[in-house]
Amino acid sequence: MTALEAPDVAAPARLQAQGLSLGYGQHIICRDLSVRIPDGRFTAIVGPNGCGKSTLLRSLCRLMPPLAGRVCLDGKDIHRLPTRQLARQLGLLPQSSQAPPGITVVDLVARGRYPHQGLFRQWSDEDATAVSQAMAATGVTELSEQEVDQLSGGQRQRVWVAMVLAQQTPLLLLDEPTTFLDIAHQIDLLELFRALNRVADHTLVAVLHDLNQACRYADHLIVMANGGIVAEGDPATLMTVELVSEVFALDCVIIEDPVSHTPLMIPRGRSAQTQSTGGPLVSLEHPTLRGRQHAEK
Amino acid sequence: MSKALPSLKAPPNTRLWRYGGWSLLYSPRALVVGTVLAMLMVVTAALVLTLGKMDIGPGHVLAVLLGKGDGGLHDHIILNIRLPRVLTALFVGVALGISGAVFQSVSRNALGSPDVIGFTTGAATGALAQIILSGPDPLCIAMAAVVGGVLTAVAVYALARQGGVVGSYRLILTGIGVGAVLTALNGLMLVRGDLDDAVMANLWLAGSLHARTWDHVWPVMIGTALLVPVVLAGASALRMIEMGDDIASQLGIRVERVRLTMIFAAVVLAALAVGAAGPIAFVALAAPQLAARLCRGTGLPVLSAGLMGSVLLLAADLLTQSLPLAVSVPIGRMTGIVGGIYLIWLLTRSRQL
Repeated sequence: MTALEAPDVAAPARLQAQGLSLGYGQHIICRDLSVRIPDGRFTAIVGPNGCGKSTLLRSLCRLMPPLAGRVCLDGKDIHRLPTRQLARQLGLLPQSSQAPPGITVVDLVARGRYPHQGLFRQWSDEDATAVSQAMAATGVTELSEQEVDQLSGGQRQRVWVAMVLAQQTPLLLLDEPTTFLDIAHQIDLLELFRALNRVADHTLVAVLHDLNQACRYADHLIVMANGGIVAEGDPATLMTVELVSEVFALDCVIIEDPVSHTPLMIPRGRSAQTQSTGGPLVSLEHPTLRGRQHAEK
Repeated sequence: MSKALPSLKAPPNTRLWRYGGWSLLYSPRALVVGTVLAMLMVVTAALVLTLGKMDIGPGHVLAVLLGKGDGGLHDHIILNIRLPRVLTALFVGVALGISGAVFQSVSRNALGSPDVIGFTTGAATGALAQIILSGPDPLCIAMAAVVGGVLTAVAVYALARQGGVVGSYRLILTGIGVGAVLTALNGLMLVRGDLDDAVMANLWLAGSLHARTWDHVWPVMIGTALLVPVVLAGASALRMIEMGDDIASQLGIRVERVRLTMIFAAVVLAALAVGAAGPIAFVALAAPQLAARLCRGTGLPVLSAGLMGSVLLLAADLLTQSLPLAVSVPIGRMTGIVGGIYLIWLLTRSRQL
């Protein structure tokens, strides 16, 4: 676990957690966990089911109070910050939200302005600009007058992203944002996140299920297992056969993604595992893959 | 997206009013609906004031209200018999309408009104206990109803709470269960109580505006005046919570605190209404739904739901008093019949319940 002492530790991090213990009542999920979210990066949290990814993310945005330890934004405990002040710095796209029946896209996106508004300051020019920009960035401007219930799953998720974008928070946490979407919409959304990170300079943290997507789109990886952080750092150097085997108990090969040149993890699968003592792997017999293997060497 | 950004001076269907650093958003449609409902409320209230065994013309009624009466029998009838009745109906309607709007939002369900989820029954239990144990004093009934309602709410809330969170379906189902137990308890009290008290309690249980005095009016009037601002202040946060606890709390809302405050306010409103006029069915269920349909917004129609509630109740009173029936129908039964039909209509045509 050399990765833990990676040079990132010196990188500036507005959002940090120290000595976190998380859980529900008697059921402890994470114990003594410390993490820094590097500024200006797209961080992906990956790990097997039940490893505490979402729990960690929820604690980072105060949805889950820690049993011990603390989460700090700019050195201040987030549980002591006024809620609206935090909501102007830190946004979250939760796993599931319900659009009120009959609400239009623009009305829903406008709700993201809530932390910037007040009882006697209900709408400003900044609100108007933020809502228009958020809709443009997510490509939902043309849907603005439509009812959210009528949209497809992919469009709806974009509208929710637009709502959180309208909040204009420098830090954005995404809890499994691509789950339940088809592959095209997953890629669309991940490209959008990367653009938000690179162009709009948001610090992003996403819980992702797909290791290869995480390696492809994120530039900082946090790998979790059993409620702890096993490794973190640049996906290009972090992803090794040993790490995948340790974290997921999965035998795999790692090659270079022919498109993005990031690590691509190919599982050998249980059946291949039994044959793996012998000759070459079936999957590597594929001509293009074999070509890449040669190219790497 | 090459399309030019639409100019968003204000969200669609709303207007913006600005003064210095202050800005207020309002929906012109909701404003019209509110104004029309307020006018309807005043007109029906005035009509009800002219109804009764003694024929008193509108001009005379107005004169008495303005303090220019002759101090005779008519003054007494209007100021001490009809006016308390009308004001009871008016404020009970407002309280029920607003209470229903809050509960339907908290439970994210059109069926989540205080009469469905047992709070009205709990308030009735408190009031019945008061009537049977120590007598029908209006102020004591009001207090007993509030105590009964709040205790029921605490019980339902505690039972529905799981891991610090109250799910909307759990709230409704738990409320129905607790309500069923309390209905049985109410029946038991009627059977076990003294016959005279039981008759009195039974009349009260039908929901009635008969023989209301100023002692009936004060608690519900003052309570409503105090609690409406509380509900109005929390309305926008409650509207956000409808999207889910996670998204609301990431928007900077203290979800559990807002929800508890609003539930408390709504329970007290419903209980005060029950204390003043007995359990009146369906106003809390129908008024917010009708108001929301008229306003067509996605906001919480607090004021229009309240106005709608009072219009419904006053109209029901107008109807019961002017129908050529040999017996006078208790108002609670009347709203029950009308509201029941409305509920069936709602269930058959709604796509989401």
